[in-house]
Amino acid sequence: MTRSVWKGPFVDGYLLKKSEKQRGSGRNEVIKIWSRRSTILPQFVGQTFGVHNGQKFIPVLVNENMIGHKFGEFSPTRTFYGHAADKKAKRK
Amino acid sequence: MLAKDLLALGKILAPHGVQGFCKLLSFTDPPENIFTYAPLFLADGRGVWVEKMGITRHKTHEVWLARIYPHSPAKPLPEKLVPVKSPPFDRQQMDGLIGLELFLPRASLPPPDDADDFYHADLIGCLAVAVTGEPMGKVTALHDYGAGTFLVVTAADGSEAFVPFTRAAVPDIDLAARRVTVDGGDE
Repeated sequence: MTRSVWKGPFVDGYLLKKSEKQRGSGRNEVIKIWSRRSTILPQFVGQTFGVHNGQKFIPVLVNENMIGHKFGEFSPTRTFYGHAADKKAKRK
Repeated sequence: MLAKDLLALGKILAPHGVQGFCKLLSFTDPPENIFTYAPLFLADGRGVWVEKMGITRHKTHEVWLARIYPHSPAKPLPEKLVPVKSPPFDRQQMDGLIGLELFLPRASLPPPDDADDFYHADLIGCLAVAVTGEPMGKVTALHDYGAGTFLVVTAADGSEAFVPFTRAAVPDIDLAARRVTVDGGDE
């Protein structure tokens, strides 16, 4: 059963405060959060969150496509160390 | 050739049928890219060609069905070099190849598309230094879980720091010196 629309998306209050405080400061530091259940809101776009996976804080750089998803979706709790082979990474 | 100059591109998992086919696990991105590189090398230095025959399953994985040919020297023609394909390995010869990895020399990879594109293989093993010049550790892995790539920097004491792979957090990359400059990093 899905969440009722009238309630709006769920976000932990402390996360909103941290996000606003960082935006006010103008610095782009990683915001450490434990709230994997919180929904990603439009005002988080462009910010980098460190989402706890039970052991570490995984950097999550929020973009438009992630709005509506939960933070926990981008911070897996099990790590697979694959092969580098010919994989490429783009610096953003 | 040194082992660090070789990239493991795939692994021969098991024979398939009686005609010399094998199940091949690819480590490339995308997986079918393994068929675009040739020749590949076994750990003992033998060169081989890999031909795609189809897709099959191995335990829980989807893997390639392939044929493997021993590498022969290229035949020179006026315009270009044409590789000469020897007969493929048969079922008995394939038994001796099971479990072996296929390697490609790093120099055989095409150059990256632009200045902000990097091969994982080039970054892994680089020394990570802070903007102050203080060494932080070595880059041991890169991960992307759908929210941007980040570097895993492992310090000498085994502790790990995760650094977003952005221009702000990684302002300078010197591949020749095998060094990346890191601004910040989250332990």
